[in-house]
Amino acid sequence: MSRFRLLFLFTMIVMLAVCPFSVNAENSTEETEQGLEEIQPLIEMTDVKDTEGMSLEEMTDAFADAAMCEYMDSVTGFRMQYPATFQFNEGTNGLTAATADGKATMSIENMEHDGSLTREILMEAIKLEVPGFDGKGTEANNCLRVTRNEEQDKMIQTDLYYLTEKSFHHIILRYPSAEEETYSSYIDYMINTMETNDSELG
Amino acid sequence: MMKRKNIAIILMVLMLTAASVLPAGNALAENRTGVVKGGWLILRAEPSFNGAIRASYPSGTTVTITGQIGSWYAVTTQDGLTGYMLGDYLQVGGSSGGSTGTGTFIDSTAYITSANGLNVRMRSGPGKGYSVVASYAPGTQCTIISPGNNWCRIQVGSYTGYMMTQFLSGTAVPVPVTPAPAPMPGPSGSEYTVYVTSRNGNGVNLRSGPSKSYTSIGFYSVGTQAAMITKGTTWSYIRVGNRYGYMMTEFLTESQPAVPTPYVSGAYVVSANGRNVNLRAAPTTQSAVIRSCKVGTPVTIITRGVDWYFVLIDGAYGYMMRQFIYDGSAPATVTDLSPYAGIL
Repeated sequence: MSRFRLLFLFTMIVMLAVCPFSVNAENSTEETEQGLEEIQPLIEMTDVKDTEGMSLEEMTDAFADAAMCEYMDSVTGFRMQYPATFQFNEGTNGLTAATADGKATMSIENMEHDGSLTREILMEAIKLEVPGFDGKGTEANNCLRVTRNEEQDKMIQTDLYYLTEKSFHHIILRYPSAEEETYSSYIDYMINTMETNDSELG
Repeated sequence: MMKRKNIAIILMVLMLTAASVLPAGNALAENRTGVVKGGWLILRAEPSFNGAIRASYPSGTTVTITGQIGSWYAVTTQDGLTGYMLGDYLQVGGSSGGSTGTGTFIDSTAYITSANGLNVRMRSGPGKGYSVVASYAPGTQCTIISPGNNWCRIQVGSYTGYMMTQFLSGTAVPVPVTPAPAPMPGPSGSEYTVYVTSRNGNGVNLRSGPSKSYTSIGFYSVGTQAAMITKGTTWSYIRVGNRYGYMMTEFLTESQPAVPTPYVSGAYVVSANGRNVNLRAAPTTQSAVIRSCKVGTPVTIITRGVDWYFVLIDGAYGYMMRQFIYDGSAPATVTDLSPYAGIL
């Protein structure tokens, strides 16, 4: 084997030894993007434009500051974030909010229970309320989501049933069908933020 | 001659390789202090990610810096160990010491902890609005992939996701949950506890500025605890949890208000002849009677069926025929309201 071949082999070995650094760097870049696909569509719906150079956490905070408000009920400890486009009116019914144009509304009902209200009992009751409801719905974070079209009014109603061992929370959103995509994304976010004092942390 | 030339080439390759891996740096002539920030930082035997792990230290740990090689600091810890720590996660001499967060990954073992023993959620992103990937019991071991001040990216088994930093500990022994961040100091000095209150029992808006023209950033029910930072005549600057904003001073009280009655939808039992109405176990008149309810009894409606409502009456759940419930919004559905005008 010539000296040049030996030199070439040595150089290749050195490069391979260094290679893991660059491989890690590539993996790292991919890994930091976990969650980005969830927040990016939401950010695009807001006034938060310049996200270049922001970390994912900074982008998330920027979105939450710009687009979300916090709701809290002191009796049940129920908390969630809701779109800032909804404004509660302190002077009338404090549990109903509406957008500035009045086209979309949101109401919240909170109630405590002694543990006797179970998911199964609730499902049977929802079947009565929602025609065609098959008992499945969409569930995430202990929240059942049932959406129905009101074709005559070109409106959509989404019911969120959040049940814990101690309390039950019913959030009703009504919004124009034309804005279904926007509200659907916001509702996903809302559901993820729901919690009470006895729910899991974080 | 050829041999010397090859040796020179090899040396150049080695130097170029070293330069690409380790940023240039100078040894420190004097000792300085560094404080770990952004999560848990590993102490390694060598200034490299391949260096053997000697220990890991949580945010706030103070170390003595004895030297620097590239982006790595040679340190001595308070428990007497020596080694190298990545400079990105050390606050040196009061300066920022480099950016935290993305770009560099540190492997570190940590344990999930919670003060009340509840599970902790792993989410798909660094915020509570992200979906829940999994939840883990306190004591679960995890690997810190990327530390952060508020959220860390972690791995548990085959799952990776984000968890709040306050629920991660560098040791297996559960530690108390980190308290909420210190409030911003107000001009008047220390803060004190206040409670949200209102005459009509409704919730109150927290706003971004001291006027109703400012946007609402939160809505809080009567009884919600808050921290008064600056009390004004009309508007006060307060903190609710980690959220800061302005609330009208008249809606804040230093004495805890009576716990308001859980919200009911304003519905009542009605009947045309004044007789009691049955609350039943199922939406049929053949089902068992749970309770016999007097006219005027408050009803909380949970779901509304065509003929039957699923309701809560004085702590009991069950079904009641729609025609016997006045819900305040659709009087036309009520059999006869005239005898109960005083009630309704």
